[in-house]
Amino acid sequence: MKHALLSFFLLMITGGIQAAAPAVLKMQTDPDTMNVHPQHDTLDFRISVHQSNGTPIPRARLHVQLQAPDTPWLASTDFPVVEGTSLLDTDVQLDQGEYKFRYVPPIRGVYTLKASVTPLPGDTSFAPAEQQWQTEITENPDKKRNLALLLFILVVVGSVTGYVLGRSPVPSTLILLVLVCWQAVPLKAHGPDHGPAHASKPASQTSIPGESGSLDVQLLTEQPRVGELSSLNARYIDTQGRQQPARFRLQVVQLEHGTEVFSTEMIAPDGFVQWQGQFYDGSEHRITVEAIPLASSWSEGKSANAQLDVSVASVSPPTRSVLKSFGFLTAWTTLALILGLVVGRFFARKERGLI
Amino acid sequence: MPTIYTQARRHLRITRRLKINVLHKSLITLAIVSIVLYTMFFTTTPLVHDYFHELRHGLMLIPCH
Repeated sequence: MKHALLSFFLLMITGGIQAAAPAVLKMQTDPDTMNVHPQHDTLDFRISVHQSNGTPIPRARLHVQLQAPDTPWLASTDFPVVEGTSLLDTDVQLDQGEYKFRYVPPIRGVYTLKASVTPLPGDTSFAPAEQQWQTEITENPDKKRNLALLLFILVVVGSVTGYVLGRSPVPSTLILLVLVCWQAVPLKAHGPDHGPAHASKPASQTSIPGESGSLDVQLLTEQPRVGELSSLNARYIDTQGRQQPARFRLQVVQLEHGTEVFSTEMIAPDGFVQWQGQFYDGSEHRITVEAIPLASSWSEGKSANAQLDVSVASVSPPTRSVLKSFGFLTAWTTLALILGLVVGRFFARKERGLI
Repeated sequence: MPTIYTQARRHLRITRRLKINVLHKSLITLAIVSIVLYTMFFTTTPLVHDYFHELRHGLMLIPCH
């Protein structure tokens, strides 16, 4: 009986020692999110992974997911199709215990970043762990000022237009008919709503040989669309045709404004990376990938580069978002009109001596 | 053949005789404002959309692609 108890306690102790503690994940953003505004500023995300005793974990598998803010209750954002969707969903390998990426947030609201770390095969120094962070991005002050100006103009223009139209013989039913039929105009600036893509283009592929090898970049998504994740593969091949370990630099530039909307660096011990991200603007984008062989230094000319121009299909904003914002502006004008009527009637009665 | 001036005078005369109550005046005003707002900020007609595209993105609550 004594032996059995002793064995049980020994097993408990050794088991406790062998079970590794879960890793600790930390996230930092730079600059301060108060100074970052949608479509205007870049935000650096830095995820670092440590053991429970504070020692950095140099190599591990990290899954990163960035979720866009939910739909605001009052009015739409600039990109309603993006609201609540996944902006980034990718697996990377830690580089010196951390992973960094730079991103231009598309809309205001609270972003959710999820990260989960798992040890590489054979590594028992830590147990898998996951963490979630929330980052709030506030609206651009210039846009707030512009909105205030629009609301002011609506109050003024509404009352003046009402005064002029009060003497016009144009029947209001005709105006309302035009308003209703306007949507029936067949010409559209955007593509169709979330339906299947019309143009079934083959996946883009490019290969540009460098001095130390070549880089194959392949866009797996046939037609990248706003609101959906697009997949991209990159493979580094040396001069002898073998897939080699490399560090990949990925950059996404929105060509209309020449803005870098995303950039990151990824380590690939097998010379292959897969990236999943969303293009939130329905316009032309350029993806630039650079592969630097891990064996060589960072000196110029030792890397392979590839560029891929992607035409992102735009999507018409959902009717719900249009109605919300349109309803808000119309309701604002209506309230201003009612207030003006009440005040006008009050002064009219006062002039007649009724008050 | 009436000139444009006589025609304008006729219109003014008709307009002065028209009796539109406050509710109808308000509805017409709102309809006109709605048409202008919708055309500027929400229509997807390419010419109009492209012309006001930057303005739409500068107003915080106008949904775009």
